[in-house]
Amino acid sequence: MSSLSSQLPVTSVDDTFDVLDLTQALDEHAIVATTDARGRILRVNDKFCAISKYAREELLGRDHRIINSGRHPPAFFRELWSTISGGKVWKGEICNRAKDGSLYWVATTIVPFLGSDGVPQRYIAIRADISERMRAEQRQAELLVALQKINEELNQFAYVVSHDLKAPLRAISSLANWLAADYGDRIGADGREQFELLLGRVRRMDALVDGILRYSRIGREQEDIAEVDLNEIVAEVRELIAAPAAVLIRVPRPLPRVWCERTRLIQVFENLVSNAVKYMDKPAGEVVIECTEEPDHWVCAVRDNGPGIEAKYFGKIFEIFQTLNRRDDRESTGIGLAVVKKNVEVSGGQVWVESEPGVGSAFYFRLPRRRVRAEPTPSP
Amino acid sequence: MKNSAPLLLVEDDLVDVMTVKRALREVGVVNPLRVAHHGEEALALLRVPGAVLPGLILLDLNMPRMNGVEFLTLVKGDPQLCLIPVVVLTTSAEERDRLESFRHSVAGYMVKPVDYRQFVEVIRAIRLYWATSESAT
Repeated sequence: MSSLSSQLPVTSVDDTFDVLDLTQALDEHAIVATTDARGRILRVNDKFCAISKYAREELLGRDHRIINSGRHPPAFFRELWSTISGGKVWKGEICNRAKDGSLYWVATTIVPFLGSDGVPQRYIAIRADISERMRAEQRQAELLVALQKINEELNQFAYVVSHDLKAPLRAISSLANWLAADYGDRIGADGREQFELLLGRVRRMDALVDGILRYSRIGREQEDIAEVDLNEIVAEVRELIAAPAAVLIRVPRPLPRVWCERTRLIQVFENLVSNAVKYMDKPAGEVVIECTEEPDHWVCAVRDNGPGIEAKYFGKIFEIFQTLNRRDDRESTGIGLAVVKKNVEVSGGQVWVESEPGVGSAFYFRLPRRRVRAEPTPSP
Repeated sequence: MKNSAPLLLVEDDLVDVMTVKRALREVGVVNPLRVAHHGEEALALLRVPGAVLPGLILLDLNMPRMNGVEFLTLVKGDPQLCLIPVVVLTTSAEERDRLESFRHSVAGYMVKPVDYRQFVEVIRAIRLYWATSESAT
């Protein structure tokens, strides 16, 4: 029999030794069960008993359906049986019920073993406990639904609040206007000045309500990321701002196309450019917009030759409701730069300022370059 | 639209009604003005048998009992009433309100400015347009 022994692998001393070792090792790792062609349990390992909470005697000879959870539709098991009874391996995730009624999830592979007639004689099922993962996935799905609900509520809340706050503002404004118009000649210059201040405060509050509404939306609304031509955005912002002739808005080099949320970027540019225009103190005002490319980022700059900002205020100006001028000197909500900062940070970027009082300021923001991958279409 | 055609204002806020009345007077509109404080009241006015239908409806969106969009759905679904042009006069600059209104075939959508003087300009613009434009009836 020397020809036979030369065919045996050199490393094996005893074939059955290997197989027993394999079974032992497998039983340490996986949940294993063997059933006959009709699904009656022939052998279960200790892990099977542990997870199903049945004693071995309660399982042997029983139909495998003893651990059915009822969680899967009949079609699921029909497909399973037709696969394995046709001699093919089946893989999938199954929810089973333990003896105490509790449920557990297992990632399962069922292997049919065919007899000499080609018909399956028995099945070996090897399983891994994935209950923790399934529970985590379910928790995540529930949290997502709750989050969407809260978002929707917040949106509604902000919308209603702003509307309900604005209605009395409008009434105050109209009534003050009419009083000044109808009785102006009787209340004197002081009286008329007070009405003007009243109207100014109303306008301020209206701007604040708008600003708060806008600010509160920033983190919560998400847009589709699209490829945007920044030159187009600057053109749109130019129109929105309608700067006076004394302030020139310059774009020395063509701006790039970037992948971003379009509305966010419009808000950022609009706030920065309109600030530069609003605070311009030189007769020949200039606002320059530029973009430079870094390996993983775009850095955009909005530079002006305005009054400039002292270094000690560089952080403060980005805080909400912070203004540097007295509000009676320069009507400002103090929200614009806070909106810029939040928008940029929500996009994963940073914003900062460099400035020299008397000379001008430069506001920079850096945005990560996004590479948008096409989502694989889900299989039906 | 004829000078004699009545206008229907559907608005629940008292000061807003005063504002519209005053602004209409200021821009020299002589058409009789009828006021309903919500959609139900407006519909009742429109459905009075033999009533002269308004040449223009100015509609607020946020009202109790029946809001602007509900009112629009009913009016635009009625074969007679749908011929009356409706201009929405609202505080809401919200895109969804604007889209909903145009989906219901409004003839215009004006956001009420906080400042009264600007409001007068809005009313002036409405009058200028509808004084020139013909109406269906």
